[in-house]
Amino acid sequence: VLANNGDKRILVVEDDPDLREALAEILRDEGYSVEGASHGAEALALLRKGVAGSTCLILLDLTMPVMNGWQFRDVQRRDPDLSRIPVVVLSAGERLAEQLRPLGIQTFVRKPIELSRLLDAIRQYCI
Amino acid sequence: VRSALPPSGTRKPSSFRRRIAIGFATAVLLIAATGLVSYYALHETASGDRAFARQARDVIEVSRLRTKLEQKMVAARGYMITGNEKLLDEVRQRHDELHALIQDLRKGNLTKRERTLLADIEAAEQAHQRATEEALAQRSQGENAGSFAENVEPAREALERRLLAYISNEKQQLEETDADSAQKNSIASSLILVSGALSVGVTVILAILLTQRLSRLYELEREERRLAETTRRRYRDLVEGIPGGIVWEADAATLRMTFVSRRAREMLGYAQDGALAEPAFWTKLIHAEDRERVLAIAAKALQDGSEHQFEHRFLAADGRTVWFQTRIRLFHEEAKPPVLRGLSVDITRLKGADDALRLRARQQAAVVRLGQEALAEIDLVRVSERACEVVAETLEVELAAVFRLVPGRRELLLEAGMGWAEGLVGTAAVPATTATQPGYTLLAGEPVLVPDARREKRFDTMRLLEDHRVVSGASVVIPTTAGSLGVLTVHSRSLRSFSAEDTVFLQSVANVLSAVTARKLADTAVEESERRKAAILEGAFDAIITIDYEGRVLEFNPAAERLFGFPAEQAVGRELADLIIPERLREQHRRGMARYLVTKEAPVLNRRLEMPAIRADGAEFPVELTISRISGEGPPAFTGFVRDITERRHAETERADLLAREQRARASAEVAESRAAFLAEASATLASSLEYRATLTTVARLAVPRIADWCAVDILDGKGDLRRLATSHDDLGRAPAAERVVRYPADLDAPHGPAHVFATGEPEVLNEVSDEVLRAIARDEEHYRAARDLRLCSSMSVPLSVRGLNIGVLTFGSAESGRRYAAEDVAFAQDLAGRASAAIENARLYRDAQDAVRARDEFLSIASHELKTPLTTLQLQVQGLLRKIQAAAPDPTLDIVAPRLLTAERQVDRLTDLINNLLDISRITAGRLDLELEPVDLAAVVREFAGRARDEASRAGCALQIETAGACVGQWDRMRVEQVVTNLLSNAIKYGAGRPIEVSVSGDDAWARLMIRDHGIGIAPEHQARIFERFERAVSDRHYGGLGLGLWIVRQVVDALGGSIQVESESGKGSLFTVNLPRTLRKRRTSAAGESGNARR
Repeated sequence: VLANNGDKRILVVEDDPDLREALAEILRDEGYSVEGASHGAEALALLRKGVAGSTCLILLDLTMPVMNGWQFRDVQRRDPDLSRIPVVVLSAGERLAEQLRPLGIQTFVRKPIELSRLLDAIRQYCI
Repeated sequence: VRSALPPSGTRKPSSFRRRIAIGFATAVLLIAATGLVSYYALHETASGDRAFARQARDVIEVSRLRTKLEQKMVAARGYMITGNEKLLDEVRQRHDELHALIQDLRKGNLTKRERTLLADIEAAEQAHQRATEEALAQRSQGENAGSFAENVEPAREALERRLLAYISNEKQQLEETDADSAQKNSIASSLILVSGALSVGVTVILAILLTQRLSRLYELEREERRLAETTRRRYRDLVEGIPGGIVWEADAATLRMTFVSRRAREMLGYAQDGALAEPAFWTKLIHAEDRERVLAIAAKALQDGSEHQFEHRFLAADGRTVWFQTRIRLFHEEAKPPVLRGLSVDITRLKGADDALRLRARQQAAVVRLGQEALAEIDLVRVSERACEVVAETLEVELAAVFRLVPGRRELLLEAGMGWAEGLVGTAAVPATTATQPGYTLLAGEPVLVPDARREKRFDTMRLLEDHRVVSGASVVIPTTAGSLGVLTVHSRSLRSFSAEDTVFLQSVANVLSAVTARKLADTAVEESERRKAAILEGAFDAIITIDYEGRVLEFNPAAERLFGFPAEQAVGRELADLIIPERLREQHRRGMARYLVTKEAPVLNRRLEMPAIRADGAEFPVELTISRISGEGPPAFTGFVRDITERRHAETERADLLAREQRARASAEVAESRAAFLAEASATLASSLEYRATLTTVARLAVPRIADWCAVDILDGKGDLRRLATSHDDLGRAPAAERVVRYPADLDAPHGPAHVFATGEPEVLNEVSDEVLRAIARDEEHYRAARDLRLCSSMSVPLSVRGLNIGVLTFGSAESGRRYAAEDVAFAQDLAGRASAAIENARLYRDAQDAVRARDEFLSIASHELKTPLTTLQLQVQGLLRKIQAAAPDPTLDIVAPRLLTAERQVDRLTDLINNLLDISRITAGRLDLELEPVDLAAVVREFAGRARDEASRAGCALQIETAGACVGQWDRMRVEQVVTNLLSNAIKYGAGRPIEVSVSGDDAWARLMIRDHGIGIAPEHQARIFERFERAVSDRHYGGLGLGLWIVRQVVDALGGSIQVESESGKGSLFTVNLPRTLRKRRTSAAGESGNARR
């Protein structure tokens, strides 16, 4: 464990299991506690099971099966229990700033992910 | 309200006024009544209220009575118990007060019952007082006070009862008064309301009535004014338009002109304004001789007011005298001074013409009379005498004479005369020289007028005439066909002028004399003329042929002999038709002759005709012919002048041929020219588009309407079917039919039409699109009907081919233009088809190329995206591991792993860059290089990426020197700026040959400048231009790897950001790349230009 961030939970929503695992491992090394979900619906289920309370950040992929990132964000924003959790988008898409503005998301990290940037972004929310 | 309105303006205003007054009176009365009622109601209410107040006060007073009574009782009881003398006084005092109060109540206006009740009260109070006094007296006498209760209490109760009775009475009265007042109030309110409403209503009705009436009056008045204006205008127009007439108006009192119509200017030449300004114009205008008469008539007209008509002369501005007929009348117009209005019509011509006509009629009658007499009279001298009589009488002259030329002697004999001295007629003669008037007239050959013989200079006045004291005279020639027969003269002893009519009359009389003489001389004259004619015939250059009414030849002159090849002997007596008229025209000739004899109508007479004729040898040749009828009595004969016009014809034909040939040449030159122009235009139009469908449509449209009314392009599709991909037509009505036809796939086995042309590769021209052709092409009845509805009358199809391979068919159809295609049009159509084919092929190639580019871009985009996913995981894993190692405790195993992981990270980074570059290519070429502008610090970016590149640089042996002067922030796309820095840095490291690299960031307010200098291999000048091109490198790929995309992308990005990039380099000395970026993007450019520009055409 590289830092003591144990009481801060990060929810990684990413359909690629390898990437999800890699992210989870790195973030755990950074001392965060990490939950993974392979799509939006799964993430919502997790959050509603009680994870929501201790979650300080959601790392969200956009292109996913079942429920994609846009749909997830839409539901999350309108759920008063979940809407307070900040979201950082991970995507290889284009014109991200423009795309994310209507979703109310300011922070995104481009794939391929520059780890230092990702950690900087996370530190903004999980202090 | 409606019925109260007066019906439209037929009523007299006075009746209306009366009604308005009545209405107002009613309104005033109603308002007054309302006031009265209101006053009464208010008054009643007030008095009720007063009564109410009084009664209320009474009730209060009674209450006070009760209180006093109580106090009196208390005092009395007190005395009874205590024996205090003071209380006795109080009892008395209370009693007085009670008494006074009761007396107060009894004052004023009381009802009967009130009075009774108050009397009762007073009585009861007296009783009570008495009882009290008795009781008190007993006490004072030391007796038992038992009687107090016995006597005083009942008295008090009695008084109380009375008081209560009074109060209840008052209460009842109060209620009654209240109810009464309320009722009165409501009645008063209703009354006020009703009367108020009534008066308001009446006032409103009155106002409406008044307004309507006023507006109607206003409109009536306006209408009348308009009518009056129109009438006035019409009158003026009418007045101005009277031809030959002047309308004028003069003030009746002063006779001063107030109006003169414009025609006066034309007719009399006075300026209108001047005419009006001149006070005495009216009197000056009229001819002096007529002035008095006219003024008298005017005075009469002013007096009796009736119309007067008279004729008089006006003096025109140029001094002319013009006759006018004038009608005048006095006019009174409302609110205007009376005017004398006149219409003057120019009758000068009428007057003149009238006189002339009368004179002419008389003269003509005289001539006719003389003519008739002359017919019956054989003696020439007798006729001459009659002539003299007639002219003397008709022209009202004293002398008339006929001087006849004596043959062989230069003398004129006075053959007949009127008014001459005895013995002169028949004997006297004058010389036929210019010295005498008859001689002068004879030689001059025209009428001679002598206005005043005393001033005559042309000839001496004859003694003959002097003796007769003549002053004026006229003379005319008595003509004959050969010359002059003599002279007819008239003379007058008074001064007079002879008019043109007089001369004409004289001449007519002379002509009669001439005719008579001519008839007398007819026999000799006929002989003479025959002889003369023969001479003409002999010598004529033209052939002259005379025929009788049966068409037989009477004369045939030598020229005719030469022309036709017959001697005159052979010709005379034969029918002309048989002789010289071609057989086919003979019947026509005979019919013409026959018709003339019946109807006397001959359209061919006296006209130049051209017709064929035949010679004796049977040869036909063209002649020009003029036929005239020979005048004279008896059966008609005709003379024909015939001229050979073979030569002329020949020349004419030749000229016509030449002209026609020239016209044909010019026409075909024009056609060729217009076709060439059309083809040139077609080429230009076709070249203007590379879009496949648009090109096909262009091809179809080109032909309409210049060479076709309908045009279709059929193209072979990928499945081997011929499909109609474009049509065009001038007439929109043809669109539905064209659409229906398109539904049918082409039948390659059809015997005609586009499919047939495609199958055979041979052009087809259908001069006539017949029903059979349509049936043969049509697949079924519906198809046939659709094709028929195109209404094509002619069509032409030519194959479209590319490199000898048919790709389709171009078909032209004509309909309403009536154009018919012929074999000679094919070449032109093929020419157009050739151009169209080329354009279609170009469009097709372009479309294919574009498809390929699009497919490649799509593939690149997808591929890059797909590559990124595993790369992300890989990169993260490597970075995660490195991070873990760096944080872990020193361990020899990790020392081995760490550098390898670093290598892995570098390679992953490279892979990431490569993929990003690939993605950028597709983005840029597709014109989708989107910028996300945000504040970016170029200095910070340089520092960050130089830090990252330091390892790479040091491995390449290059020292990195960074020089930034503080933050350098601009509105840029962060990722793109990073890309520029990275690409330029790695480029410098790659070609830096292990020498130091200097990076600097500088700038001003508007621009930021990034400079990267290496001291490596450099770029030869000839390569410098193309290093920014795609897939280009200055060096061989055998030495240096890479895709050659870095600098191209840099340039695209810099372009997109509105900046510029330059390179300065020398082979072997290194390169300096300078990037200038504007801090804000001035011109909004979100996509890269350059190649993408072409790609998007």
